[in-house]
Amino acid sequence: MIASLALLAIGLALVVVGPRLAGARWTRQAPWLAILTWQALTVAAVAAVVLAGVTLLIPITAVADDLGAILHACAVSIATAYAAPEFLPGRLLGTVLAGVVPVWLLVCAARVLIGGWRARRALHRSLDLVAEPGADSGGLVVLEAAAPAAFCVPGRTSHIVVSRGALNRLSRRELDGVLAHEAAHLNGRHNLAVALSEILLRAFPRVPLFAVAAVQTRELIELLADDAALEAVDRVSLASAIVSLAEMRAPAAALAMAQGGAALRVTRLLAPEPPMTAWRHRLGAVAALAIVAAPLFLAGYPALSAALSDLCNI
Amino acid sequence: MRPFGELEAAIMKELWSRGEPATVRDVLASLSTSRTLAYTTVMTVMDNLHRKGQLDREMSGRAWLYRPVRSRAEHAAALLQNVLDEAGDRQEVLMHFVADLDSASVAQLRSAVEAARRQGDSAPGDAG
Repeated sequence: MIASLALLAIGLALVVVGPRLAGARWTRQAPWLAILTWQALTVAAVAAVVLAGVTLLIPITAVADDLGAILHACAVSIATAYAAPEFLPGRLLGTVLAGVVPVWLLVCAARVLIGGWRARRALHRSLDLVAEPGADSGGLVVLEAAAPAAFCVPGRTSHIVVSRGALNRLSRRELDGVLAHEAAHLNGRHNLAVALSEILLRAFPRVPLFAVAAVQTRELIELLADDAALEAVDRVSLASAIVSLAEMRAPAAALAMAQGGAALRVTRLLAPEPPMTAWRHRLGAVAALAIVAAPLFLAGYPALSAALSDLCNI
Repeated sequence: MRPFGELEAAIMKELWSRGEPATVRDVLASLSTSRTLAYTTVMTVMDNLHRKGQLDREMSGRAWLYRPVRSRAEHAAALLQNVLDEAGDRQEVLMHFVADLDSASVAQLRSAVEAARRQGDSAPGDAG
């Protein structure tokens, strides 16, 4: 019972405190670590709640008959350690948390992944039909259209698409920046990080933690791709490419909601913050893993301590 | 905008590359070089494309002559418009290089970039 309560408390704490990570300045210095931390926070919150359900359901008489009284005593001691409630509301809650939540997550995962796969396949097909291979190699295709746009479509056969309208108005260096940025998205499989945050948001749309995590993940993969692109192009050219494309699209955007993401990217490129020190980076990674490990440990601890007790010394 | 099926796409491609109206038999002859297709299959698909408003047709002698309603470039423009209209919501499907910004901040950022460029030019070696 204590384990169940502790797990629920951890889940609640992660949901309440987690969103505060959004304001942390270090997330811009180490976007990769920040994405990892968001994933750890969200996955741990869900895992804690599901495991709380599991611990509510540990049966008193799991193993009995043939293996004899020793095993039975062991099972009883484990079950006692959890002190799973016999009363109905506890059982019911356990069933919902341990049964319904995982199934619902699987349903949402299937929807997001299959829906995304279908949409990408349709897009790849349409692109194969109407887009021209670009002059350069590297998977660039050109859409003969005046509207300015540059984007990539991941998949087994990925596409980096630039419209003629954008191509005509980007300088050579700017185009290099665009291509390097999009190639970084594809090589880093950034869409998977987005898909994970999307699945959790789809499953629990009313929990702010998942909404914040989804928005942050989207912004952070852009920073990550910018950092990777800097290996191929200088900071000013990449910043200039972002502003150039934004300029081309500005009239249409008058109606759209202003987004801080692109402005942050430009500012960050022009006035780079010092990278995070190696030891802080490592410490952060360990902390992220600890966040995921905590619910697992809490859920497993009573079983472990019972198993190590005398009754289980077979 | 619904994407074309595989055979639909092959037929549209063939008609676009011809640049002139063609009968089912013409299209079948061209497509048959790479695969085996029944006349009725191609006829059905082209008839469907006509019903969906993708192909125009007129009677010539005893056969229909088909031609695309929209050029390939018009189709590319429609596809892009589609992508831009859905922008933002489906990042696991496609990732845009830049999201929309309002004009005021764009102007501000442009001047910041130009300032950085001048600074970079005046201090060579520090451009990276």
